[in-house]
Amino acid sequence: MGLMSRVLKAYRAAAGGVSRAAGSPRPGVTLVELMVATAIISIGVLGMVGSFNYINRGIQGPKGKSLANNLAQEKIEVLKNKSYFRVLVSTATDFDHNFDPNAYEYDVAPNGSETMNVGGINFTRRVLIKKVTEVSGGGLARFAYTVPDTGLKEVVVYVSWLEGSSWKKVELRNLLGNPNRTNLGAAFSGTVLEAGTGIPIEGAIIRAQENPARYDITDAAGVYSFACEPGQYTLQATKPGYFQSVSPLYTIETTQVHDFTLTRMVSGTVTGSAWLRDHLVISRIVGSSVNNSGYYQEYVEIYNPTTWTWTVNGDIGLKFQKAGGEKAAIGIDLYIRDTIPSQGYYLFANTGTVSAVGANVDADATWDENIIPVVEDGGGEGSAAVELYRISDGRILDQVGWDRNNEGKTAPFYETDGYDQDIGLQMGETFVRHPSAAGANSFYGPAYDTNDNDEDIEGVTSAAIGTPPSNSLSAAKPVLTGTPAAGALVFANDSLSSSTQAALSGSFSLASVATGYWTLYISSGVSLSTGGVYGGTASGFSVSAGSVLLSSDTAFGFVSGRVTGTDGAGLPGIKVAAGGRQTSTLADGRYILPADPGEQTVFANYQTDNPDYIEISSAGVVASLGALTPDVDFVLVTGGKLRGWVTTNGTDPLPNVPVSAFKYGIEQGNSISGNDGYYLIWGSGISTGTYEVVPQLEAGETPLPSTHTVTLSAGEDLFVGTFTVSGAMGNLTGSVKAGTAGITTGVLVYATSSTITGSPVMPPTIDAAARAGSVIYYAVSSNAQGMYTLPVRGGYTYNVYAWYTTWPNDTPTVTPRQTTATVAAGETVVKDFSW
Amino acid sequence: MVTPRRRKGYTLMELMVVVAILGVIVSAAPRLLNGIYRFSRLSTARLEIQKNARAALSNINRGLRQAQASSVVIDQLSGMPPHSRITFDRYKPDGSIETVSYYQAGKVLYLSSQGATGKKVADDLRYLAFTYPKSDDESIISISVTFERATYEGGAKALQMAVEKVRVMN
Repeated sequence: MGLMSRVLKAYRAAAGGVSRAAGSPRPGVTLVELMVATAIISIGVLGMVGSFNYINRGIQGPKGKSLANNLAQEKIEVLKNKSYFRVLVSTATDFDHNFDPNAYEYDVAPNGSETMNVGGINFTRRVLIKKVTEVSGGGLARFAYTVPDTGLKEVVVYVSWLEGSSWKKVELRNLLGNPNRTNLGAAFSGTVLEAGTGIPIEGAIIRAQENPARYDITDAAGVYSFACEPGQYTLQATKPGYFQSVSPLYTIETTQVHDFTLTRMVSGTVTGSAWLRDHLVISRIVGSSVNNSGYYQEYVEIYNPTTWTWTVNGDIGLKFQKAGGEKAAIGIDLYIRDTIPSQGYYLFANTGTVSAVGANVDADATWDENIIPVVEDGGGEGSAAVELYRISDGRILDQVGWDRNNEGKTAPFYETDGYDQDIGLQMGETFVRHPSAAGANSFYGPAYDTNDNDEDIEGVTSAAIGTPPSNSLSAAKPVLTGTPAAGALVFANDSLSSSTQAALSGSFSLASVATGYWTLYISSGVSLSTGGVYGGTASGFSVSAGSVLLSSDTAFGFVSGRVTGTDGAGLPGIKVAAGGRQTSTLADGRYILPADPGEQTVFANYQTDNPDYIEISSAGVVASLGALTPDVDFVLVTGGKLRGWVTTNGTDPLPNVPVSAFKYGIEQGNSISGNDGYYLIWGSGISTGTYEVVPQLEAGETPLPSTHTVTLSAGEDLFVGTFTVSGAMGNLTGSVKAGTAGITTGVLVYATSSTITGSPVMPPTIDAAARAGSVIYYAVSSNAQGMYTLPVRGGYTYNVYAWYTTWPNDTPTVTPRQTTATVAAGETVVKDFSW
Repeated sequence: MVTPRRRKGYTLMELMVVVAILGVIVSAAPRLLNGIYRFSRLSTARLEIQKNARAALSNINRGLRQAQASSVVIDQLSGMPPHSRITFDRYKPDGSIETVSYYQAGKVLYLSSQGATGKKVADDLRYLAFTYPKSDDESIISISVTFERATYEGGAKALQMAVEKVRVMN
C-alpha cells in the first residue's frame, strides 16, 4: 500500500469520526470569538487605509521633485537671459537651517527669495551667485563679492519645500561667463629667496594687491607664477616668520618677472607667570583654643585678593564638617560689619573679641558655639574642613581641609590634597595661608591659592605666628599672587610667535617673539590681561614679564594682524571691525581686535572710515573664546567713491538700474540706482585710477551717454555724471477675480498703446508682420495665485485688455474687460480685473 | 434514558448588542467608502492632470525651442479662447522643414503637423495661452497652461497650472 492510500484512509477515518458525533450539538461561535475575529479584520482594514497614506506620499515625492526641478530650471533660464553684468553677485547671505547640519547658503540681497505655490506645494526659490575662477585641478575657487570681476559667475538655484515633516531641496548649478571678458593675457613670475642665505622659500604667498583673486604660492624651489589681466599691479610677498616685501608698481602687458628676497624675523623669549584673583580665600583657621580669659575661642579669617569690595552680610557664609561628621553651615547669629574691602580681611569668630598674640581684635561676624574641635577635645578629633561659600547659590569660593594621619583620618573635603597633619589641628595652633610660594611674609596679603591645601596652608603655633588675626578694619595688604592661571593662553602681537599656555604653576615662556617691542596678551578664556609691552632688539633676547594678573573680564576671541599700504608700510589709525566690534591700528599698522566667538568677517578701513583708502574684508575668520587668531593681514589700496544719477528724461529718476565701474576692462564694483535714481559705487574695488562707468540696461533701453569716463583720485567723492535712459520699463500689476474669489485658472492680459478693436474684442494675431510693426503688444497670463505682472515700456498710456474663459458646457465663453493705465518708467501701476 | 442536551441559543441581550454594533458599522461604512472613493478619485485626477501638464509643457517646450523665430504665429481656432494656438516651422532631423501647430479645441490639446488633422496630446485643458512678453522681442515666448478635472459629482476640482518661458533658439 502506497503513501497515498494511507493518507486517504486516515482522512476517511477522520470524516467518519465527525459523522459519528453528529448526534451531539455542534459547537457554535461565541460572541467573544466573533468580536475577536472582527477586531482582527478591522486591524487589517485599518492597515489598508493606512497604506493609502504611504501610496499618496510615494506619489507626492516625485511630483514635488519634478515641480521643483522645473522651477529651478526656469530661474536658471531667466538668469541666463540677463546680460552678464545684470546677474548680480550675492552681497548678503544667510543659511537655511531647516537643512541642518547641511544648511545651505543663499542670497538675501540683492536677489532675495521667492515663494510660490505650484501644484498645491509651497516652494521657496533662492539663488546664490558668486564670483569664481577655474583652478588648475578642475574645480572652482570662490571669491568675496568685493573682489574685482573674475569674468565668471557661478549661479546656484535652490528650490526647497516641505514634504510631510521633512524638508527637501533641489539644487541646480550653472556658470555664466562674461562674453566680453578680458583674457588673462599677462603673467607674473619669479622666485622668492631668503635674505642672506639665498635658500628658496616655499609656501610664500604672492598676490596682486589690486586684484586679490590673482595670486600664487611658491613651490619647493621658491618659484611662483600666475596669470592676470593686463593692467597695473603691485605684488606683495608674505610668509609667516618673514618680513613682507612689496614690488614696485608694474604696468604689465604680457609678462613680468619679479624676484623677492624675504628677511627672516629674529626672535627672543618672554617669560613670566599669570595669576587670577577672582574669589575670597580662607586665610586663617583656629580651633577651640583657650584665650587669656579662659574662654574657648575659635575663628576663621577671610582675605579678599580681588580689586572690589564683597558684601558678606547675608551673602557669604561658612560650612564646617569634621571627619566622620555631617557637613553643615555654621549658624552666624550676628553680622557686625557687612563688607570685606579689597585686599582687606573679615573675621568670623565664636566670640565678639578675639585675643591673640597680645592683641584684642573685634570679630566682624559671630557664632556662639564651639564648632571647630581640636585634638585636645579627645574622641579622635583633629581632622576637619571649612568651606567658604556664597549663600544665594551655594557656589564654593574656597575650601581648606586638614588630615589627622596618625589615626588615618582624611579631611572630609579639600582642594587637591588636605593639609597633611600627623596629629591634626591642635589647641593654640593657627592654620595660615601663605602670600606666595616663598612662604610666610606678613607684608603681603595671604592670597596664594594653588587649589592645593597641602601646598598653600601651614600650621603655626601661637608663639610663632607673630601677628594677630585681622578684621575688616585692619590695614589692607598688597597681593603678590592669587590662583595660578593654569592653561591661560599667552600671545603677543608680533605676528611671528605663536601662542603658548601657562603651566599649572601659572608660569609661561613665549618663544620666537620677533625682535622689537610688542604687547603681551594673557587670556584665561574669561579674564584677560594686556600684560604690558615687552621685547628686545638682540637676537635671542629673553625678558621677564614678572607676575601678570588677569583682571579684566573678557567674552571675546582675539583677531590680530597688520594693515599696510601697497608699499608695505604699516597704516596707523585704520578702523578694523568684525561683528560690530571695532578697534584702530597702532603706529606700525598692527591691531588686536576683540571679536565675538564664532565665524566673523573682518573689515579693514571699516565703512571706508578713511576715505583715502578702500574698505576690504576677510571672510570666514574664526574667533574662539579667549584664543588668538593671528595673521589676519590687510593691504589697503587708495580709493574713493563714484556717484551719479540715472533718469528717464532729466527730471524723473529711474530706480533699480545696475551701474558698473570698469578699470582696464574689468568690473571693479557696481551699485543699483535707488528710488531717487542716485547710485554710489565704492568699497573694496574702487581704488584710484581711470574708470568707465556703464549702466547695465535691459534690452530695448538706451542710455545717453553710453559711458562716462572719469579719473578718481585718493579720497575723492566723484560725481560721474547723469545717464538719461530712454525706453525703460515700468510694471502693470493687479489681481484677477471672479466675484470675490481669485481666478486660479489663468487670464490673458494684453497692454498696448494702440487700440484693439473687433466684436467681441480679441487679441490680434501675432505673426512676423505684427512683431515687426510699430505697435508693441505686451502680454502675460495671470498666475495660480490670481495675480499678474506685466512689464511695459515706461512713459506711455496703455489700453489694458483681459480675457477670462469659462466653460458652462464644452463650449468656451470668453468675456473681455478693458481699462487704461499710464505707466512711467520704473513705476508700478495696479489695475485689478473682475468678472 | 438519555436526555438530549439542550442547544444553547443566543440571549436577547447578546443579539441586541450584535445588532447595535452591526448597525453602527453599516451606517458608518458608506460615508467611509465615499470618502475613500472621493479621495482616490481626486488624487488620481490630480496625478493625471499633473502628468498631463508636465508632458504637454515639455512637449510644446521641446518643439518650440527648435522653432524658426520668424515663423511663429499666435492666434486661436474660431470660437476658442484667445491665443490658444501657436504655429511654427521647425527643422526635422533630416533637414526638411515641418510646420507644427499646438492648439486648443474644446477641452483638448492637439498637435498638428503640416496642417494635418490634429493628434490629441491631452484632455482636461482648461486654459492655454501663448504670449510674447514684448511683441518686438521674438526670442521669448511664454506658455501658460492649466488643466482641470472635475471629480466626483461636482465635488472638488483638481487644478494644475504651469507657466514656462521658452527661448526660441533659431
